[in-house]
Amino acid sequence: MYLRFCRARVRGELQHRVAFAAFMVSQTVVTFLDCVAVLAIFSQVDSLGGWNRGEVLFLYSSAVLSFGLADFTFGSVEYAAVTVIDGSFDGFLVRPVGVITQLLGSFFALRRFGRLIQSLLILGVVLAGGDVDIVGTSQALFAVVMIIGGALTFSAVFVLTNTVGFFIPGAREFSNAFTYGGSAAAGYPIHIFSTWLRNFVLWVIPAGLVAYVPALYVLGAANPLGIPGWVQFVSPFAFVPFGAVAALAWRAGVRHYESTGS
Amino acid sequence: MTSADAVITTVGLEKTFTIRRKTGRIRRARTEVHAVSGVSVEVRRGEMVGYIGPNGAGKSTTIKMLSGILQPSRGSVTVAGMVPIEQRRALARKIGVVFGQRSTLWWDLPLGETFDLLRHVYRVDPGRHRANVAWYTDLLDLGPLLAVPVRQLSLGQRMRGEITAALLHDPEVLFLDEPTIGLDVISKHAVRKALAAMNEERGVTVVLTTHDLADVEELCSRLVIIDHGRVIFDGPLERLMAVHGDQRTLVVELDRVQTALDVPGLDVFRVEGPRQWLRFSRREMTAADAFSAASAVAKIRDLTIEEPEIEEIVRRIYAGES
Repeated sequence: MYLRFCRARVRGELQHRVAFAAFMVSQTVVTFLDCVAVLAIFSQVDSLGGWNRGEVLFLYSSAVLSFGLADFTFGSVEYAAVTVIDGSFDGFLVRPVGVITQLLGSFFALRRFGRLIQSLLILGVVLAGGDVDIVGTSQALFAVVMIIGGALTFSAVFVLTNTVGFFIPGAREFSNAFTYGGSAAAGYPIHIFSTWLRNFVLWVIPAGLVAYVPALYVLGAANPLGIPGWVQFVSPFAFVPFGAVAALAWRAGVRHYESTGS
Repeated sequence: MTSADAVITTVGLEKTFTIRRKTGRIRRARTEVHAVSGVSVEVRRGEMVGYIGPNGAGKSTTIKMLSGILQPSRGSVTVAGMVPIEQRRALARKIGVVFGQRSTLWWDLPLGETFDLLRHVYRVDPGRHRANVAWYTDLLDLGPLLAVPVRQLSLGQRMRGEITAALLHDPEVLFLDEPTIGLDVISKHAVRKALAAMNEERGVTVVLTTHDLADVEELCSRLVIIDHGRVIFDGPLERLMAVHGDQRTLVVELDRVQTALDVPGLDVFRVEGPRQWLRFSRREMTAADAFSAASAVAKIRDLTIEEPEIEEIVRRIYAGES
Protein backbone atom coordinates (compact mmCIF):
# COMPACT_ATOMS: atom_id res chain seq x y z
CA MET A 1 0.00 0.00 0.00
CA TYR A 2 2.91 2.27 0.88
CA LEU A 3 4.33 1.68 -2.58
CA ARG A 4 1.03 2.57 -4.24
CA PHE A 5 0.95 5.86 -2.36
CA CYS A 6 4.57 6.45 -3.36
CA ARG A 7 3.84 5.79 -7.00
CA ALA A 8 0.95 8.23 -6.98
CA ARG A 9 3.20 10.81 -5.40
CA VAL A 10 6.09 10.28 -7.80
CA ARG A 11 3.78 10.64 -10.78
CA GLY A 12 2.77 14.01 -9.40
CA GLU A 13 6.32 15.08 -8.67
CA LEU A 14 7.52 14.18 -12.13
CA GLN A 15 5.06 16.65 -13.55
CA HIS A 16 7.37 19.36 -12.29
CA ARG A 17 10.53 18.00 -13.83
CA VAL A 18 12.66 21.12 -13.60
CA ALA A 19 12.07 21.66 -9.90
CA PHE A 20 12.69 17.98 -9.36
CA ALA A 21 16.02 18.04 -11.22
CA ALA A 22 17.11 21.22 -9.48
CA PHE A 23 16.50 19.75 -6.06
CA MET A 24 18.26 16.52 -6.92
CA VAL A 25 21.31 18.44 -8.09
CA SER A 26 21.37 20.71 -5.05
CA GLN A 27 21.13 17.75 -2.66
CA THR A 28 23.99 16.02 -4.39
CA VAL A 29 26.12 19.15 -4.27
CA VAL A 30 25.44 19.69 -0.57
CA THR A 31 26.41 16.13 0.34
CA PHE A 32 29.45 16.42 -1.87
CA LEU A 33 30.55 19.64 -0.16
CA ASP A 34 30.31 17.91 3.22
CA CYS A 35 32.68 15.33 1.87
CA VAL A 36 35.02 18.00 0.57
CA ALA A 37 35.19 19.39 4.12
CA VAL A 38 36.49 16.05 5.34
CA LEU A 39 39.05 15.94 2.54
CA ALA A 40 40.12 19.52 3.31
CA ILE A 41 40.92 18.56 6.90
CA PHE A 42 43.08 15.72 5.70
CA SER A 43 44.99 17.98 3.33
CA GLN A 44 46.33 19.61 6.52
CA VAL A 45 46.69 16.67 8.91
CA ASP A 46 47.41 12.98 8.47
CA SER A 47 45.12 11.72 11.16
CA LEU A 48 42.11 12.88 13.09
CA GLY A 49 42.09 11.59 16.66
CA GLY A 50 44.24 8.69 15.56
CA TRP A 51 42.04 7.81 12.56
CA ASN A 52 43.45 8.03 9.07
CA ARG A 53 41.69 9.51 6.05
CA GLY A 54 40.25 6.21 4.84
CA GLU A 55 38.80 5.38 8.24
CA VAL A 56 37.17 8.78 8.62
CA LEU A 57 35.79 8.66 5.08
CA PHE A 58 34.41 5.17 5.70
CA LEU A 59 32.73 6.37 8.89
CA TYR A 60 31.47 9.46 7.15
CA SER A 61 30.03 7.70 4.10
CA SER A 62 28.45 4.83 6.00
CA ALA A 63 26.81 7.28 8.39
CA VAL A 64 25.48 9.30 5.45
CA LEU A 65 24.28 6.09 3.81
CA SER A 66 22.40 5.04 6.96
CA PHE A 67 20.97 8.49 7.28
CA GLY A 68 20.16 8.62 3.57
CA LEU A 69 18.20 5.36 3.78
CA ALA A 70 16.25 6.67 6.76
CA ASP A 71 15.66 10.02 5.07
CA PHE A 72 14.54 8.32 1.87
CA THR A 73 11.92 6.23 3.64
CA PHE A 74 10.99 8.04 6.87
CA GLY A 75 12.15 11.59 6.16
CA SER A 76 8.68 12.55 4.93
CA VAL A 77 7.33 12.13 8.44
CA GLU A 78 8.34 15.77 8.86
CA TYR A 79 5.15 16.64 6.96
CA ALA A 80 3.12 15.43 9.94
CA ALA A 81 3.41 18.91 11.47
CA VAL A 82 2.32 20.57 8.22
CA THR A 83 -0.73 18.37 7.81
CA VAL A 84 -1.68 18.91 11.44
CA ILE A 85 -1.67 22.65 10.88
CA ASP A 86 -3.50 22.69 7.54
CA GLY A 87 -6.00 20.10 8.74
CA SER A 88 -5.31 17.52 6.03
CA PHE A 89 -4.26 15.13 8.80
CA ASP A 90 -8.00 14.53 9.28
CA GLY A 91 -8.05 12.84 5.90
CA PHE A 92 -5.47 10.27 6.99
CA LEU A 93 -7.54 9.37 10.02
CA VAL A 94 -10.66 8.41 8.10
CA ARG A 95 -8.97 5.85 5.87
CA PRO A 96 -8.40 2.22 6.82
CA VAL A 97 -4.64 2.42 6.31
CA GLY A 98 -2.03 3.29 8.94
CA VAL A 99 -1.41 7.00 9.35
CA ILE A 100 2.38 6.65 9.02
CA THR A 101 2.01 4.61 5.83
CA GLN A 102 -0.22 7.25 4.29
CA LEU A 103 1.96 10.10 5.44
CA LEU A 104 5.21 8.59 4.19
CA GLY A 105 3.64 7.49 0.93
CA SER A 106 1.82 10.74 0.27
CA PHE A 107 4.93 12.84 0.78
CA PHE A 108 7.42 10.34 -0.58
CA ALA A 109 10.20 12.26 -2.31
CA LEU A 110 12.20 10.50 -4.97
CA ARG A 111 14.62 13.41 -4.91
CA ARG A 112 15.91 12.28 -1.51
CA PHE A 113 17.58 9.55 -3.51
CA GLY A 114 20.41 12.00 -4.30
CA ARG A 115 21.95 11.64 -0.87
CA LEU A 116 21.91 7.86 -1.22
CA ILE A 117 23.76 7.81 -4.54
CA GLN A 118 26.31 10.23 -3.21
CA SER A 119 27.16 8.22 -0.11
CA LEU A 120 27.29 4.95 -2.04
CA LEU A 121 29.71 6.57 -4.45
CA ILE A 122 32.07 7.77 -1.72
CA LEU A 123 31.83 4.47 0.13
CA GLY A 124 32.67 2.65 -3.08
CA VAL A 125 35.65 4.86 -3.78
CA VAL A 126 36.96 4.50 -0.23
CA LEU A 127 36.65 0.72 -0.24
CA ALA A 128 38.03 0.31 -3.76
CA GLY A 129 40.90 2.73 -3.14
CA GLY A 130 42.32 0.48 -0.42
CA ASP A 131 42.37 3.48 1.88
CA VAL A 132 40.63 1.52 4.55
CA ASP A 133 41.43 -1.85 6.01
CA ILE A 134 38.50 -4.10 6.84
CA VAL A 135 40.31 -7.22 8.04
CA GLY A 136 37.86 -10.11 8.08
CA THR A 137 34.51 -11.41 6.81
CA SER A 138 32.83 -10.87 10.15
CA GLN A 139 33.95 -7.22 10.12
CA ALA A 140 32.58 -6.80 6.59
CA LEU A 141 29.25 -8.40 7.54
CA PHE A 142 29.09 -6.25 10.64
CA ALA A 143 29.56 -3.19 8.43
CA VAL A 144 26.33 -4.14 6.62
CA VAL A 145 24.53 -4.70 9.94
CA MET A 146 25.82 -1.35 11.14
CA ILE A 147 24.49 0.51 8.10
CA ILE A 148 21.07 -1.12 8.20
CA GLY A 149 20.79 -0.82 11.98
CA GLY A 150 21.82 2.80 11.69
CA ALA A 151 19.14 3.42 9.06
CA LEU A 152 16.49 1.92 11.34
CA THR A 153 17.64 3.96 14.33
CA PHE A 154 17.69 7.19 12.32
CA SER A 155 14.17 6.32 11.11
CA ALA A 156 13.03 5.97 14.71
CA VAL A 157 14.60 9.35 15.49
CA PHE A 158 12.75 10.89 12.56
CA VAL A 159 9.44 9.60 13.87
CA LEU A 160 10.20 10.37 17.50
CA THR A 161 11.31 13.96 16.98
CA ASN A 162 8.43 14.68 14.62
CA THR A 163 5.80 13.68 17.17
CA VAL A 164 6.57 17.05 18.70
CA GLY A 165 4.47 18.49 15.86
CA PHE A 166 1.35 17.04 17.51
CA PHE A 167 2.02 18.88 20.74
CA ILE A 168 3.69 22.07 19.58
CA PRO A 169 2.35 23.12 16.19
CA GLY A 170 4.99 24.44 13.82
CA ALA A 171 7.95 22.77 15.51
CA ARG A 172 9.26 21.25 12.31
CA GLU A 173 12.79 22.63 12.79
CA PHE A 174 13.02 20.91 16.13
CA SER A 175 13.30 17.59 14.38
CA ASN A 176 15.73 18.85 11.75
CA ALA A 177 18.19 19.87 14.45
CA PHE A 178 18.33 16.26 15.61
CA THR A 179 18.17 14.46 12.31
CA TYR A 180 20.09 16.56 9.82
CA GLY A 181 22.27 18.04 12.54
CA GLY A 182 22.96 14.59 13.93
CA SER A 183 24.00 13.17 10.63
CA ALA A 184 26.58 15.93 10.24
CA ALA A 185 28.20 14.95 13.55
CA ALA A 186 28.05 11.23 12.86
CA GLY A 187 30.71 11.42 10.18
CA TYR A 188 33.53 12.25 12.60
CA PRO A 189 35.42 10.12 15.10
CA ILE A 190 33.53 11.56 18.01
CA HIS A 191 36.29 11.22 20.60
CA ILE A 192 37.65 14.46 19.14
CA PHE A 193 34.58 16.28 20.47
CA SER A 194 34.25 17.76 23.94
CA THR A 195 32.64 15.53 26.55
CA TRP A 196 29.16 17.03 26.52
CA LEU A 197 28.91 17.09 22.74
CA ARG A 198 30.23 13.54 22.57
CA ASN A 199 27.64 12.33 25.07
CA PHE A 200 24.92 14.19 23.25
CA VAL A 201 25.86 12.62 19.92
CA LEU A 202 26.26 9.19 21.49
CA TRP A 203 23.13 8.86 23.57
CA VAL A 204 20.65 11.52 22.54
CA ILE A 205 20.77 11.88 18.79
CA PRO A 206 22.23 8.96 18.72
CA ALA A 207 24.32 9.24 15.59
CA GLY A 208 27.57 8.36 17.35
CA LEU A 209 26.07 5.23 18.80
CA VAL A 210 24.99 3.84 15.45
CA ALA A 211 27.98 4.89 13.32
CA TYR A 212 31.09 5.57 15.38
CA VAL A 213 30.70 2.77 17.94
CA PRO A 214 30.16 -0.15 15.53
CA ALA A 215 32.79 1.29 13.20
CA LEU A 216 35.31 0.76 15.98
CA TYR A 217 34.86 -2.97 15.50
CA VAL A 218 34.64 -2.85 11.71
CA LEU A 219 37.82 -0.80 11.36
CA GLY A 220 39.71 -1.96 14.41
CA ALA A 221 40.56 1.71 14.75
CA ALA A 222 41.91 3.68 17.69
CA ASN A 223 39.47 3.58 20.61
CA PRO A 224 40.61 6.27 23.05
CA LEU A 225 37.21 6.30 24.78
CA GLY A 226 37.66 2.66 25.68
CA ILE A 227 34.18 1.65 24.61
CA PRO A 228 33.75 -2.00 25.64
CA GLY A 229 33.45 -4.66 22.97
CA TRP A 230 29.90 -5.75 23.87
CA VAL A 231 28.66 -2.18 23.46
CA GLN A 232 30.18 -2.15 19.99
CA PHE A 233 28.22 -5.29 19.11
CA VAL A 234 24.83 -4.22 20.42
CA SER A 235 25.08 -0.63 19.17
CA PRO A 236 23.54 -1.31 15.71
CA PHE A 237 20.48 -2.61 17.53
CA ALA A 238 19.80 0.71 19.17
CA PHE A 239 16.77 0.86 16.84
CA VAL A 240 14.95 -1.58 19.15
CA PRO A 241 14.58 0.75 22.16
CA PHE A 242 14.47 3.86 19.99
CA GLY A 243 11.84 2.28 17.74
CA ALA A 244 9.71 1.25 20.70
CA VAL A 245 9.81 4.72 22.21
CA ALA A 246 9.09 6.29 18.81
CA ALA A 247 6.06 4.02 18.27
CA LEU A 248 4.66 4.85 21.70
CA ALA A 249 5.25 8.57 21.24
CA TRP A 250 3.62 8.52 17.82
CA ARG A 251 0.52 6.80 19.15
CA ALA A 252 0.31 9.28 21.99
CA GLY A 253 0.67 12.06 19.41
CA VAL A 254 -2.17 10.80 17.22
CA ARG A 255 -4.37 10.45 20.31
CA HIS A 256 -3.48 13.93 21.43
CA TYR A 257 -4.27 15.33 18.01
CA GLU A 258 -6.94 17.97 18.20
CA SER A 259 -8.06 18.72 14.72
CA THR A 260 -8.17 22.37 13.76
CA GLY A 261 -10.87 24.49 12.18
CA SER A 262 -13.97 23.29 10.43
CA MET B 1 -33.72 4.41 23.91
CA THR B 2 -31.42 2.55 21.57
CA SER B 3 -33.47 1.03 18.82
CA ALA B 4 -32.38 -1.92 16.73
CA ASP B 5 -31.87 -0.04 13.50
CA ALA B 6 -29.79 2.78 14.97
CA VAL B 7 -26.61 3.40 12.99
CA ILE B 8 -25.37 6.28 15.07
CA THR B 9 -25.96 6.66 18.77
CA THR B 10 -24.45 9.33 20.96
CA VAL B 11 -25.17 9.72 24.64
CA GLY B 12 -24.13 12.85 26.49
CA LEU B 13 -21.38 13.49 23.97
CA GLU B 14 -19.01 16.26 25.01
CA LYS B 15 -15.81 17.81 23.76
CA THR B 16 -13.82 20.38 25.64
CA PHE B 17 -10.75 22.07 24.26
CA THR B 18 -8.21 23.65 26.50
CA ILE B 19 -6.99 26.90 25.07
CA ARG B 20 -3.89 28.58 26.43
CA ARG B 21 -3.97 32.29 26.12
CA LYS B 22 -1.14 34.71 26.70
CA THR B 23 -1.91 37.00 29.61
CA GLY B 24 1.55 38.24 30.41
CA ARG B 25 5.12 37.82 29.38
CA ILE B 26 5.25 34.19 30.44
CA ARG B 27 1.94 33.62 32.08
CA ARG B 28 -0.67 31.66 30.18
CA ALA B 29 -4.29 31.42 31.14
CA ARG B 30 -6.00 28.11 30.47
CA THR B 31 -9.54 28.41 29.30
CA GLU B 32 -11.85 25.49 28.79
CA VAL B 33 -13.99 25.77 25.70
CA HIS B 34 -17.02 23.51 25.53
CA ALA B 35 -17.28 22.87 21.80
CA VAL B 36 -19.90 20.17 22.23
CA SER B 37 -21.82 19.64 25.46
CA GLY B 38 -24.17 16.79 26.10
CA VAL B 39 -25.31 15.85 22.62
CA SER B 40 -27.54 12.77 22.61
CA VAL B 41 -28.75 11.85 19.18
CA GLU B 42 -29.83 8.64 17.50
CA VAL B 43 -29.79 8.22 13.74
CA ARG B 44 -31.59 5.30 12.12
CA ARG B 45 -30.42 3.40 9.08
CA GLY B 46 -31.20 5.19 5.83
CA GLU B 47 -32.01 8.50 7.48
CA MET B 48 -30.74 11.75 6.03
CA VAL B 49 -30.05 14.20 8.80
CA GLY B 50 -29.22 17.85 8.43
CA TYR B 51 -26.96 19.05 11.21
CA ILE B 52 -27.03 22.80 11.32
CA GLY B 53 -25.95 25.65 13.50
CA PRO B 54 -24.03 28.90 13.35
CA ASN B 55 -20.24 29.03 13.01
CA GLY B 56 -18.51 27.57 16.03
CA ALA B 57 -21.64 25.79 17.23
CA GLY B 58 -19.86 22.44 17.35
CA LYS B 59 -21.00 20.85 14.09
CA SER B 60 -17.60 19.90 12.74
CA THR B 61 -16.40 18.82 16.15
CA THR B 62 -19.32 16.42 16.40
CA ILE B 63 -18.64 15.00 12.93
CA LYS B 64 -15.00 14.51 13.90
CA MET B 65 -15.97 12.59 17.01
CA LEU B 66 -18.35 10.43 14.98
CA SER B 67 -15.72 9.63 12.36
CA GLY B 68 -12.95 8.77 14.81
CA ILE B 69 -10.79 11.85 14.29
CA LEU B 70 -11.34 13.31 17.73
CA GLN B 71 -11.57 11.65 21.08
CA PRO B 72 -14.70 12.71 22.98
CA SER B 73 -14.04 14.29 26.36
CA ARG B 74 -17.12 12.67 27.87
CA GLY B 75 -20.09 10.61 26.79
CA SER B 76 -20.33 7.73 24.39
CA VAL B 77 -20.54 7.31 20.63
CA THR B 78 -21.34 4.27 18.53
CA VAL B 79 -21.24 4.37 14.75
CA ALA B 80 -22.08 1.26 12.70
CA GLY B 81 -21.73 -0.79 15.87
CA MET B 82 -18.25 0.51 16.64
CA VAL B 83 -16.60 2.94 18.99
CA PRO B 84 -15.00 5.41 16.56
CA ILE B 85 -11.70 6.36 18.19
CA GLU B 86 -10.95 2.83 19.39
CA GLN B 87 -11.83 1.07 16.17
CA ARG B 88 -10.88 3.91 13.87
CA ARG B 89 -9.42 1.90 11.03
CA ALA B 90 -12.14 -0.75 11.04
CA LEU B 91 -14.74 2.00 11.13
CA ALA B 92 -13.07 3.77 8.21
CA ARG B 93 -14.28 0.96 5.93
CA LYS B 94 -17.87 1.53 6.98
CA ILE B 95 -18.01 5.28 6.70
CA GLY B 96 -17.32 7.88 4.05
CA VAL B 97 -16.27 11.40 4.97
CA VAL B 98 -16.32 14.49 2.78
CA PHE B 99 -14.85 17.75 4.01
CA GLY B 100 -16.21 20.65 2.00
CA GLN B 101 -13.28 22.86 2.84
CA ARG B 102 -10.42 20.54 2.06
CA SER B 103 -9.66 17.84 -0.41
CA THR B 104 -8.81 14.25 0.36
CA LEU B 105 -8.09 13.52 -3.30
CA TRP B 106 -4.63 13.26 -4.83
CA TRP B 107 -3.96 16.65 -6.30
CA ASP B 108 -1.84 15.48 -9.23
CA LEU B 109 -3.69 12.32 -10.15
CA PRO B 110 -6.48 12.12 -12.67
CA LEU B 111 -9.79 11.41 -10.97
CA GLY B 112 -9.99 7.94 -12.50
CA GLU B 113 -6.63 6.90 -11.06
CA THR B 114 -7.60 8.32 -7.69
CA PHE B 115 -10.58 5.96 -7.74
CA ASP B 116 -8.26 3.05 -8.61
CA LEU B 117 -5.98 3.92 -5.72
CA LEU B 118 -8.96 4.07 -3.38
CA ARG B 119 -9.97 0.59 -4.43
CA HIS B 120 -6.68 -0.62 -2.93
CA VAL B 121 -6.94 1.61 0.12
CA TYR B 122 -10.34 0.11 0.97
CA ARG B 123 -9.60 -3.31 -0.56
CA VAL B 124 -12.78 -3.30 -2.60
CA ASP B 125 -13.46 -6.28 -4.80
CA PRO B 126 -12.56 -5.29 -8.43
CA GLY B 127 -15.96 -6.21 -9.86
CA ARG B 128 -17.87 -4.27 -7.24
CA HIS B 129 -15.47 -1.37 -7.62
CA ARG B 130 -16.03 -1.22 -11.36
CA ALA B 131 -19.79 -1.32 -10.90
CA ASN B 132 -19.66 1.44 -8.28
CA VAL B 133 -17.42 3.67 -10.39
CA ALA B 134 -19.80 3.21 -13.31
CA TRP B 135 -22.85 3.94 -11.19
CA TYR B 136 -21.46 7.08 -9.54
CA THR B 137 -19.81 8.32 -12.74
CA ASP B 138 -23.20 8.19 -14.35
CA LEU B 139 -25.02 9.68 -11.35
CA LEU B 140 -22.62 12.58 -10.93
CA ASP B 141 -21.85 13.00 -14.60
CA LEU B 142 -18.12 12.47 -14.12
CA GLY B 143 -17.46 10.65 -17.39
CA PRO B 144 -15.52 13.44 -19.14
CA LEU B 145 -13.59 14.24 -15.94
CA LEU B 146 -12.03 10.85 -15.21
CA ALA B 147 -8.86 11.65 -17.16
CA VAL B 148 -8.44 15.15 -15.72
CA PRO B 149 -5.96 15.75 -12.87
CA VAL B 150 -7.77 16.82 -9.73
CA ARG B 151 -5.97 20.16 -9.51
CA GLN B 152 -7.51 21.18 -12.84
CA LEU B 153 -11.07 20.53 -11.75
CA SER B 154 -13.42 23.34 -10.77
CA LEU B 155 -14.70 23.38 -7.20
CA GLY B 156 -18.03 21.91 -8.23
CA GLN B 157 -16.43 19.16 -10.29
CA ARG B 158 -14.02 18.40 -7.50
CA MET B 159 -16.80 18.14 -4.96
CA ARG B 160 -18.60 15.61 -7.17
CA GLY B 161 -15.32 13.70 -7.27
CA GLU B 162 -14.91 13.91 -3.48
CA ILE B 163 -18.40 12.55 -2.91
CA THR B 164 -17.79 9.67 -5.30
CA ALA B 165 -14.43 8.95 -3.65
CA ALA B 166 -16.14 8.74 -0.27
CA LEU B 167 -18.77 6.29 -1.52
CA LEU B 168 -16.89 3.78 -3.69
CA HIS B 169 -16.35 1.38 -0.79
CA ASP B 170 -20.09 1.22 -0.08
CA PRO B 171 -20.04 2.83 3.35
CA GLU B 172 -23.01 2.50 5.67
CA VAL B 173 -22.78 6.10 6.75
CA LEU B 174 -21.72 9.17 4.83
CA PHE B 175 -20.61 12.28 6.72
CA LEU B 176 -20.62 15.48 4.73
CA ASP B 177 -19.13 18.58 6.30
CA GLU B 178 -20.48 21.50 4.32
CA PRO B 179 -20.58 19.74 0.95
CA THR B 180 -22.11 22.67 -0.90
CA ILE B 181 -19.93 25.45 0.49
CA GLY B 182 -18.73 27.79 -2.22
CA LEU B 183 -20.56 25.98 -5.02
CA ASP B 184 -22.62 27.70 -7.69
CA VAL B 185 -26.33 27.04 -8.01
CA ILE B 186 -25.96 24.42 -10.73
CA SER B 187 -23.28 22.46 -8.88
CA LYS B 188 -25.31 22.62 -5.68
CA HIS B 189 -28.26 21.21 -7.51
CA ALA B 190 -26.19 18.39 -9.02
CA VAL B 191 -24.74 17.49 -5.64
CA ARG B 192 -28.15 17.48 -3.94
CA LYS B 193 -29.75 15.42 -6.68
CA ALA B 194 -26.97 12.84 -6.47
CA LEU B 195 -27.14 12.64 -2.68
CA ALA B 196 -30.89 12.12 -2.78
CA ALA B 197 -30.59 9.36 -5.39
CA MET B 198 -27.75 7.67 -3.52
CA ASN B 199 -29.68 7.75 -0.27
CA GLU B 200 -32.81 6.38 -1.88
CA GLU B 201 -31.27 3.64 -4.00
CA ARG B 202 -28.42 2.52 -1.81
CA GLY B 203 -29.88 3.25 1.61
CA VAL B 204 -26.75 5.02 2.80
CA THR B 205 -27.33 6.95 6.01
CA VAL B 206 -26.29 10.57 5.58
CA VAL B 207 -25.36 13.19 8.14
CA LEU B 208 -24.59 16.54 6.62
CA THR B 209 -23.64 19.86 8.14
CA THR B 210 -24.48 22.96 6.22
CA HIS B 211 -25.07 26.66 6.29
CA ASP B 212 -27.30 26.45 3.28
CA LEU B 213 -30.79 25.70 4.49
CA ALA B 214 -31.85 24.84 0.97
CA ASP B 215 -29.72 21.69 1.38
CA VAL B 216 -31.86 20.75 4.34
CA GLU B 217 -35.10 21.70 2.66
CA GLU B 218 -34.37 19.59 -0.39
CA LEU B 219 -32.66 16.64 1.24
CA CYS B 220 -33.24 16.07 4.89
CA SER B 221 -36.21 14.45 6.49
CA ARG B 222 -34.80 15.38 9.83
CA LEU B 223 -33.09 18.39 11.23
CA VAL B 224 -30.81 18.70 14.24
CA ILE B 225 -29.97 22.24 15.23
CA ILE B 226 -27.04 22.83 17.51
CA ASP B 227 -25.93 26.03 19.17
CA HIS B 228 -23.18 26.58 21.73
CA GLY B 229 -22.59 22.83 21.66
CA ARG B 230 -26.16 21.94 22.63
CA VAL B 231 -28.97 20.47 20.59
CA ILE B 232 -31.73 23.06 20.48
CA PHE B 233 -34.00 21.29 18.03
CA ASP B 234 -34.30 17.72 16.78
CA GLY B 235 -37.13 16.65 14.55
CA PRO B 236 -38.65 16.80 11.08
CA LEU B 237 -38.61 20.04 9.20
CA GLU B 238 -42.40 20.20 9.28
CA ARG B 239 -42.41 20.24 13.05
CA LEU B 240 -39.91 23.03 13.10
CA MET B 241 -42.20 24.96 10.83
CA ALA B 242 -45.27 24.11 12.87
CA VAL B 243 -43.71 25.08 16.18
CA HIS B 244 -41.55 27.98 15.19
CA GLY B 245 -42.93 28.86 11.77
CA ASP B 246 -46.29 30.01 12.94
CA GLN B 247 -45.87 33.47 11.48
CA ARG B 248 -46.97 33.84 7.86
CA THR B 249 -46.89 37.00 5.86
CA LEU B 250 -49.57 38.51 3.64
CA VAL B 251 -48.10 40.86 1.06
CA VAL B 252 -50.69 43.12 -0.47
CA GLU B 253 -50.48 45.63 -3.28
CA LEU B 254 -52.98 48.45 -2.70
CA ASP B 255 -54.50 50.68 -5.35
CA ARG B 256 -52.69 53.68 -3.87
CA VAL B 257 -49.92 54.63 -1.44
CA GLN B 258 -51.29 54.53 2.09
CA THR B 259 -50.08 54.59 5.68
CA ALA B 260 -49.87 51.24 7.49
CA LEU B 261 -53.24 49.52 7.51
CA ASP B 262 -55.00 48.87 10.78
CA VAL B 263 -56.37 45.34 10.48
CA PRO B 264 -57.41 43.33 13.56
CA GLY B 265 -55.22 40.23 13.93
CA LEU B 266 -52.71 41.39 11.37
CA ASP B 267 -49.58 43.37 11.99
CA VAL B 268 -47.96 45.58 9.34
CA PHE B 269 -44.17 45.46 9.59
CA ARG B 270 -43.11 46.93 6.29
CA VAL B 271 -44.50 49.54 3.88
CA GLU B 272 -42.99 50.22 0.48
CA GLY B 273 -45.00 52.41 -1.87
CA PRO B 274 -48.37 50.78 -2.43
CA ARG B 275 -47.13 47.45 -1.06
CA GLN B 276 -47.52 46.41 2.55
CA TRP B 277 -46.34 43.36 4.50
CA LEU B 278 -48.67 42.02 7.18
CA ARG B 279 -47.81 39.29 9.62
CA PHE B 280 -50.42 36.89 10.96
CA SER B 281 -50.53 33.72 12.98
CA ARG B 282 -51.25 30.43 11.26
CA ARG B 283 -53.03 29.22 14.38
CA GLU B 284 -55.34 32.21 14.63
CA MET B 285 -56.49 32.62 11.06
CA THR B 286 -56.38 31.11 7.62
CA ALA B 287 -54.87 32.91 4.63
CA ALA B 288 -58.39 33.49 3.29
CA ASP B 289 -59.49 35.10 6.56
CA ALA B 290 -56.44 37.30 6.57
CA PHE B 291 -57.14 38.42 3.04
CA SER B 292 -60.80 39.23 3.70
CA ALA B 293 -59.88 41.10 6.89
CA ALA B 294 -57.37 43.18 4.95
CA SER B 295 -59.69 43.80 2.00
CA ALA B 296 -62.31 45.09 4.43
CA VAL B 297 -60.16 48.16 5.18
CA ALA B 298 -58.46 48.80 1.79
CA LYS B 299 -58.73 48.04 -1.86
CA ILE B 300 -56.31 45.26 -2.78
CA ARG B 301 -55.11 44.79 -6.33
CA ASP B 302 -52.75 41.89 -5.84
CA LEU B 303 -51.51 39.60 -3.05
CA THR B 304 -49.06 36.87 -2.15
CA ILE B 305 -48.69 34.72 0.94
CA GLU B 306 -45.13 34.20 2.17
CA GLU B 307 -44.32 31.14 4.22
CA PRO B 308 -41.64 31.63 6.85
CA GLU B 309 -38.16 30.78 5.68
CA ILE B 310 -36.08 28.39 7.70
CA GLU B 311 -33.30 30.97 7.90
CA GLU B 312 -35.65 33.26 9.72
CA ILE B 313 -36.88 30.53 12.03
CA VAL B 314 -33.40 29.35 12.84
CA ARG B 315 -32.28 32.90 13.42
CA ARG B 316 -35.13 33.33 15.87
CA ILE B 317 -34.26 30.12 17.67
CA TYR B 318 -30.63 31.20 17.89
CA ALA B 319 -31.72 34.52 19.26
CA GLY B 320 -33.73 32.67 21.91
CA GLU B 321 -37.09 33.99 20.76
CA SER B 322 -38.71 30.76 19.60
